[in-house]
Amino acid sequence: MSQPSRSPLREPSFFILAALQAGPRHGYSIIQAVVDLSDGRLKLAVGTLYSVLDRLAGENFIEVTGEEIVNGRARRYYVLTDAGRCTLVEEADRLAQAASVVVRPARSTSSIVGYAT
Amino acid sequence: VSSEQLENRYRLLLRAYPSAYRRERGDELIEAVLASEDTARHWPSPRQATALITGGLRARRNPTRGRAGTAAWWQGIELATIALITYAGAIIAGQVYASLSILIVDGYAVSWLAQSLAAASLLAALLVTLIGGYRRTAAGVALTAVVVPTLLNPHPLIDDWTHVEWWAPIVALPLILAGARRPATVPQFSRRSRLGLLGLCALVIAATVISVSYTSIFDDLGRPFFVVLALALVTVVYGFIDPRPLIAIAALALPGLIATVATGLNNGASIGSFDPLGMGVRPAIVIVALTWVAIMTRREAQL
Repeated sequence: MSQPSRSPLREPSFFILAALQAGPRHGYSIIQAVVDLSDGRLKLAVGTLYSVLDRLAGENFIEVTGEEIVNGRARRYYVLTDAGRCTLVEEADRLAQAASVVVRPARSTSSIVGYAT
Repeated sequence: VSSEQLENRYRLLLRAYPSAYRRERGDELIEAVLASEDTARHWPSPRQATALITGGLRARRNPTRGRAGTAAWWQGIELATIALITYAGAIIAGQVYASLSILIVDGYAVSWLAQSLAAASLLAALLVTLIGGYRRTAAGVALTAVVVPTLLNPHPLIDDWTHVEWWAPIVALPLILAGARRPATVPQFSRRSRLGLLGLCALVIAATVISVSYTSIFDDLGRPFFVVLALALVTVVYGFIDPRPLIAIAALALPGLIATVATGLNNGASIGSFDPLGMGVRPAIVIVALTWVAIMTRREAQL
């Protein structure tokens, strides 16, 4: 497993990148996808969403892929870049590794607990 | 009609964003926020409203990851120097007003007025050069702003070093000189921001003179306390979005701390001669403010 080379992603950034895995999405669609992916735990306000989108775009993790006019208003679609996909996978690996410590405790940890009891 | 009302109210909140951002993304944000809201609503939800205002203020600062922490510290240091000189300028302006108000013009009052006027002129020049971004000139003027009023004092260095306004340019000087090491990637304040800063500094000085004129001259002389307190409260609240002014708050506590120590030393350095409030509260302000800045800049460096 590759070692993460950057600081961990915050939860909104992680779920936004995860929401864009399936393909391009516009702002409201990202909010809905994040709610679904987080089992309703994370409901992004629009101001928060766009702050995160701006920063992810600044890091070249996402980019605008297209635009359409709906109800007379512009609607942009965002898509993951290769760098964004790599970062997302790297972060998922890191979280999985951290979770495995709890879900499947290592033999050494069990033995220490056994020794203590 | 209610959705139109709601849209108009949200558009009002979007004014927190820079105009260029609004032109480019305003419709997109409105589209997303209206889709997220119950169509029967007449007023924006507090959650969306708060996020739009804080998001807009952050967009005005335009923090980008990696550089965000560095930029906040350097820009905060620049704000700190401006705040220090404004603080000293406000105290001196109060002194000029007070010395002009004294009807009996004796030798002491004249020399006091001359010293205050010289200090006021030099601090005003320093403020303009700082806000204008002329760092080298500002360093020279800062040095002059310490030396000239000291020489004009009939008893130089006897009591100068117990005064906050005397220490402010001295504390500001290394911060001005440190500006030479500022990385080129740290953005400069825009012309509009600089004009806004100049206006704010003038407002603080004017408010101090007014506060001095409406209260007992000697009680409030050198203590534009309520103006600073009000600004500090606004800064602390704003500090949740933008940590830079908190660096200025920390810097503002330093001249007072040094002057308190100097007063204690002047009084023979006995335990009772030190002002416990000044000695305790000011370091706490510096530590809390800088810790908060460190936490905020670290948070902003994370995606």
